[in-house]
Amino acid sequence: MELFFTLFKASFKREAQYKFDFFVNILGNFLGLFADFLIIALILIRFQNIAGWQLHQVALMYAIIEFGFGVYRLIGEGFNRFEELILSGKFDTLLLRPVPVLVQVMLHKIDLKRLGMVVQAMVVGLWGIQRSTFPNSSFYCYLPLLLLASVIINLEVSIILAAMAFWTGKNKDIIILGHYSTRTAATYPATIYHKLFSHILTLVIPFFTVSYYPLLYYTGKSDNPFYLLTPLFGIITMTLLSSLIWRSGIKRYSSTGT
Amino acid sequence: MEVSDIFRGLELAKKSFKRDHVYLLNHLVNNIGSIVFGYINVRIWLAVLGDSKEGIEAVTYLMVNQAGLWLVLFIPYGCYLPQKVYDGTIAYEMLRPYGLLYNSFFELAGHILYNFLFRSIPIFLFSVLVMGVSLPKLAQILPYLITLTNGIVIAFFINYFIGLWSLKFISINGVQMLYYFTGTLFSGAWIHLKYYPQFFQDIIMLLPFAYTTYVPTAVYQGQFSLARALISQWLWIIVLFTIAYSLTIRLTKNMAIQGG
Repeated sequence: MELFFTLFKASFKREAQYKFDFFVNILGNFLGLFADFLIIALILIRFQNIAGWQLHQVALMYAIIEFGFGVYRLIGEGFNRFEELILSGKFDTLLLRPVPVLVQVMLHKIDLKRLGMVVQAMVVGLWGIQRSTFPNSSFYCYLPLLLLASVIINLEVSIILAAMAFWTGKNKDIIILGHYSTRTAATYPATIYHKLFSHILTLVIPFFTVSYYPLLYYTGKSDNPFYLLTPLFGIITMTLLSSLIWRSGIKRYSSTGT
Repeated sequence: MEVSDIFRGLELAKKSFKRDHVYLLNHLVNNIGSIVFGYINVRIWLAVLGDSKEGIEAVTYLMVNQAGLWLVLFIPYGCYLPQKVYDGTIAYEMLRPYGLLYNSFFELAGHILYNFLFRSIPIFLFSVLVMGVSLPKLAQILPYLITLTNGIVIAFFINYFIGLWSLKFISINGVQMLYYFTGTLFSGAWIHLKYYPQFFQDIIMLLPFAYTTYVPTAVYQGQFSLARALISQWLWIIVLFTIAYSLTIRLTKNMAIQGG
């Protein structure tokens, strides 16, 4: 009987241990995801607006960018960790297979835990939508396209930065500079930055084309419907650029391999 | 502890310093990324505060924090311990003639010294030369460096707890995210604590996080009494050391049983 109780106690302790870890895991991931937005919210609760943009409007910008980034991290983690493929030499095996290399790299790792990031973006976005009034109801038809555009731009930026590894080998820090920081910058209105910086985010790493410009129209800050076309320009430019850089990267890699 | 033990620790620190130095070029690119993040924060705060005295003070506050992030917030997950648990090298750590706490401290110390020289100083110099960050008054340099060092020690203990977590539970994903959340919100790295409601400020000052970031930078700006800073930080160091020491003994004992 004593043995039974000892074993029971040990078993209970083991379960409680893992349950505790499980609980902390859920809590940590939930809170961690909202940390960045919470800082924005705290600033805007105190100061009401940033360059004329209220919290729910900034929430929309944040949600569009984070949705695209979250989906990219979900399905495109292979680009994010591309240096591992290059440095370990595993990239060679991808070149031999009869499937486009880009697709193979993209699907190299599906990172399901990034679903949390996508859900978080949706929660923040829904909250923003609820509080906003739009000039017309076309927003609801336009929004899915905008979210898709955000995913595409995020993926294309990541392809360009991943391709840098063909030249530099390691590229994690280039990704932090070129993607993480610019994506954070694009969740705030362009007018708070110096002109050069906002031009970079419009023309070079064009995150503003899917966040700031379309929302200028839908938040009633501009009645110019031209802004609704900016995602298209962003995607066309980035598709050409990413395809060019990726191809020349592969060419360079092949030539170093032979 | 004998004098020779310290030298042994310094040897560990030297090794982790050299290991980091291999990636100097990557870290310099990373510094530019860090400066961009700092720039974004600065522009946000200038947008809400304007080019006022308060705005200029906020620029200094944010960029001094940004330079210090690599010393007190963005340090290797769990002081390298989770990686060692993952790849099994933790077994060799247990064979060494000194404790896990001691080993982790000196290993991190080398990394921190490297970050101070090649991350904090370049970011700080850029901030002063280009972004208009004010230099501290001469009398505040030493108090800042002392409180910053204390902050680093406090940050070490918090991260060491994450490392101990990995000894017990293997995975650290959740607890690391929790640390990110608490660090973001309570350290004052991205938002000066004075902008929080008073009751929230009172709660934060009862937690260790603000003593790693907010307090040293507030000392830099002459906004926090040095005596109060030192007493609170040392108290935290004593409390955290005691917990870390007893937890290490308890957890490594368990590990030995599992291993045997």
